[in-house]
Amino acid sequence: MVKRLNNKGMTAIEILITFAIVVVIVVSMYNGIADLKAKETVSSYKLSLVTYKNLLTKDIQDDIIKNGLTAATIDTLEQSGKPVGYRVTLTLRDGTRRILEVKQIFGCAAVDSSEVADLCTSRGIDANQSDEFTISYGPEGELTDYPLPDLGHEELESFDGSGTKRIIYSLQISEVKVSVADSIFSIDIVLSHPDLDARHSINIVSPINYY
Amino acid sequence: MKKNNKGFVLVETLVVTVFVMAIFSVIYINFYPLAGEYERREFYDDVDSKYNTYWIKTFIQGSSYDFYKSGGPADTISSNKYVVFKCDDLTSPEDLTFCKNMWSRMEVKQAIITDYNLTDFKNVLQNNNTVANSLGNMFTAYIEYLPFYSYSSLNGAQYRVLVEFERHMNSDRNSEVYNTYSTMEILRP
Repeated sequence: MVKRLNNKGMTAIEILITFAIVVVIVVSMYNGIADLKAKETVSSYKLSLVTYKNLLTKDIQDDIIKNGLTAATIDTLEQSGKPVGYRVTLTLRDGTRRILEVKQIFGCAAVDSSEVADLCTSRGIDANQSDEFTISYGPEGELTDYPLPDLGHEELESFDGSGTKRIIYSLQISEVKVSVADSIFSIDIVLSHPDLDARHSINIVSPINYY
Repeated sequence: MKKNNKGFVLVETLVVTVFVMAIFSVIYINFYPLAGEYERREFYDDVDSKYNTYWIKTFIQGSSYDFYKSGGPADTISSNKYVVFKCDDLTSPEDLTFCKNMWSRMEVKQAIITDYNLTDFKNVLQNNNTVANSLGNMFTAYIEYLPFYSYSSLNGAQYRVLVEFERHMNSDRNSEVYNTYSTMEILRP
């Protein structure tokens, strides 16, 4: 017996309809996948930031809670005669000292020379200045740097023609608030990123001389 | 025997496609809220709240908080399953001032003390809307998220403090606020 094969192919209309269905499904999924991709990027930023914050907070709080804080003094950090941050000296009950330095130097974010006056000069920022945000902590004379995680940056040509680059980071220390009023030491370091809200600040509060 | 050589007709294909899309839609609708829930939990027991709760715990465990006085916190917890902690309950003027200043600086909204085991308190929240409403939806959701702590504390703790913080986005007190939550066990011999 000769087996008869089904030699019927698909008609053009069937292929067109199938193609149209596939296109509709792919288009409807595209936005969803793009959203997921954006969320994944933001999640990775958050993870880096939370890990950084937890590490720094734990190192400082461990010293304060285990040893007890007896005094805290705040000095202004200066660079070329300009205030650029804070230097906090924490004296612990065992007589040792810990230093916390927070440096906040904003770079010039101007892309071309027409923006320099508005974005940089009017705010007292040198046209060739890069961002510099650093936090250092440790025993006096043995400070450890805690570099902010690099969550994206821009490299801009400097305006002095030297060919060097200005670096503007996406993650910035936007505000530092430090106080020892009412015998309570508190520091709030607000970290800002264009894709994250300001809820990722580093916040440390401790009573002074309270056991 | 004649073999059935018919393929799927277009209507059959369309019906299956619609059916599969409906299944995907149901899955998406059910899983999407979980993403929001996950984001909300970022503010449960974060490192700042945990360390700040440590200081509230220190005040509660201190000698100027008369825990076992007649009609005091221990009795209230025994009857109501929780008690609201306030700095005004501290007897030492020095502790009272410290507590109030810390409370303000740490941006504490409310703090309550419950039994270490949360089973009874969770039942109260489920059955008594007045208590749940007084604590607020967000705080209640945090407590419901917490485990029951059915097994005894390894440290011998009998009580637990639950704290809600209302933090500002920046140093401007008019800036947007967000809430964080934390819990710690309490040792009261």
